[in-house]
Amino acid sequence: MFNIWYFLLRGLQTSAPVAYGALAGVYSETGGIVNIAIEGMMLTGTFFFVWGAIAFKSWIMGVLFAILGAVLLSILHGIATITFKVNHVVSGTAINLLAMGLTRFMSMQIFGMETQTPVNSYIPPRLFGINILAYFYIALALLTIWIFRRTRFGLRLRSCGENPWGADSLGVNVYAYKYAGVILSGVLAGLAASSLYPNQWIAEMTAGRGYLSLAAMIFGNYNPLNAVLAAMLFGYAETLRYFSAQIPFLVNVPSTLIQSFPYVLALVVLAGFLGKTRPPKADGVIFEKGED
Amino acid sequence: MKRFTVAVLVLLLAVSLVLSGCSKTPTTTEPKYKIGLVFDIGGRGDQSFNDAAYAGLKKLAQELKGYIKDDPDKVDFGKEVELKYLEPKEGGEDREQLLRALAEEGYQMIFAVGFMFTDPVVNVAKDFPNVKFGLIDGYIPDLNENSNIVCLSFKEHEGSFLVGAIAGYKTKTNKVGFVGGMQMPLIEKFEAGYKAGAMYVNPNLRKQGAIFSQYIGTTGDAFKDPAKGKEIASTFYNQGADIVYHASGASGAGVFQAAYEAFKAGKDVWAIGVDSDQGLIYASSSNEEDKAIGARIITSMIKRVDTAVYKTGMDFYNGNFKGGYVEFGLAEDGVGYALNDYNKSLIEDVTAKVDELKQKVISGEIKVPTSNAELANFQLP
Repeated sequence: MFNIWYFLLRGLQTSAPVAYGALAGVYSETGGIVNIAIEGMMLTGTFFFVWGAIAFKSWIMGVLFAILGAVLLSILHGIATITFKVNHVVSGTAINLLAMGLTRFMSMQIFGMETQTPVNSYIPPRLFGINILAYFYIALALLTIWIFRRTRFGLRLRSCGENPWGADSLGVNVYAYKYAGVILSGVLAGLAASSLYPNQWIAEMTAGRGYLSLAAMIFGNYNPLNAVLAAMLFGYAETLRYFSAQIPFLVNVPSTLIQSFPYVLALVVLAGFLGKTRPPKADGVIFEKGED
Repeated sequence: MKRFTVAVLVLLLAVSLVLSGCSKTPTTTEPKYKIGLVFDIGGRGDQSFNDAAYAGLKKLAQELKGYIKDDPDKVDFGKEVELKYLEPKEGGEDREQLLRALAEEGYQMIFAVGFMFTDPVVNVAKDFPNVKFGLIDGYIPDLNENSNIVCLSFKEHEGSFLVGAIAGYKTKTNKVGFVGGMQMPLIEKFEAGYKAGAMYVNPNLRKQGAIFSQYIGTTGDAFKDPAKGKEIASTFYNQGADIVYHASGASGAGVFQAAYEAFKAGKDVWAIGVDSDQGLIYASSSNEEDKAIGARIITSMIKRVDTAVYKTGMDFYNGNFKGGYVEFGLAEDGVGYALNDYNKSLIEDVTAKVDELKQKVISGEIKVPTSNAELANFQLP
């Protein structure tokens, strides 16, 4: 029998890292910083989680460490792109490569094994069998919408992504806001890492979820809630195939077909057939104070 | 006083001269043979494929009175043979470079662990016609006895057949599962063999929908995605499967975690490991959590990479190296199921029956399918 309740829960869990990752992307890109380094931040976060949790015997420390690890890289991304005006994609790629090497190096130094850590038993509590962090991303998306539309911080962050020169002329400290956006992106990447698989770190275990997050973000048209919903569409389609043996009309459909459905949909959307996505106007633009 | 000091010094010098004459340090004798090995990505400590290859090297060292160069475990049984291994960088782009480095350093026989080495081995073997290469798990066409390459492969479907049979005997819910890594013919061999074994011994599993089967993905990432491994296995356990077999590399950690969590939630469920004796590796860890997880691994399908490395290395040492293809199946002790101190009490009651099946496979009475297409025509009793 197909247990719909269980299906909904598992889908929520599967979607969690991509949903948090998509939110991470939204914060950074709203401030005008293209962040393809989410993959690397998430990967670093997964290692830091296990490290912190084992060292302090507490899952809360694990989450804090995951955030710390991801934020350190996000600050690096900020320094490169905001202060030193490096091309955002170049910096992001460099950080992704750095994260792969860094996590392996640290694992070797700390645990004596290059490609995996010991199993960690200090994991976030389970609620109905899934990671408790998997229940918060929709609320967080709604909160983000409120921040972007109703708070001074959010409005200014958006102005820095849309028209940094205008914001600058009105006295907004554009650099500071861009840094804030990137750092918040790191915080969310840390949460993405904590919701992925806190039981152990394995080399490159994020397996492309950071890039998937960006796809979800673009699919969701840079809107926090839509980005999270897009991530959930990906996650639920993935989960659906695990249950395909029990759903009569899916039994004979190849599972790869079910799995690829949301991506095909995303392609159709991104190709402009179902409306148009619009990134922040100055997304990826190098901002130099005083120029226009 | 001064004279005394001088006398003592002279005496010391004299003694030291005499002593140094006695301890004639053996001038660095070159080892007779040098055998090298390049791991696949993951390197040592992957508790699977590479560790098995390492075990083969160790056995060679023991048998041939050799030593492993630059080894943290300091394996050293003598100076007859020098063994050495290298690990590729993450991503593994330097595979060919490492093979070349070993060949240039004078290693006469070099093992390459994993099918990703196929092209690098072809390239390097061309440039070093006097060096012998052993490619594990890869396939290079048009080799013959005189080639300097031997492809060492395994009949994974035969080993999977046996663990499938164990699953078929031990399941109480009459539902079992399979989690594959990357969807490709190599992993399908595991799936087909496993299903055949389970169906062969348990008629309840022949019904459609009694054996769950899913692959993690369609790229190499599928072998290092424990989160997805865990998701899939969790849904299988929730849908009533009580034994899940994985052939998904490092993603398998997630499958074991799922079994452990389902067990903690009060379900009597098990997992089956792959490639090496994963139950033993987990259970003999010093970490309590690892041990508890190990107790959920009922057995493992063992791919004896160590046998392949050891046997080929011995052949080379004895001058019997032959190029071409060698397949290690049940008959060659190249695959099998794990039986150790920890799982002995769990599967003791079926080992006799499983060994009987093993004999039937060796004698050719049972022809284990290697793909789902062949499985459809598999003769069930």
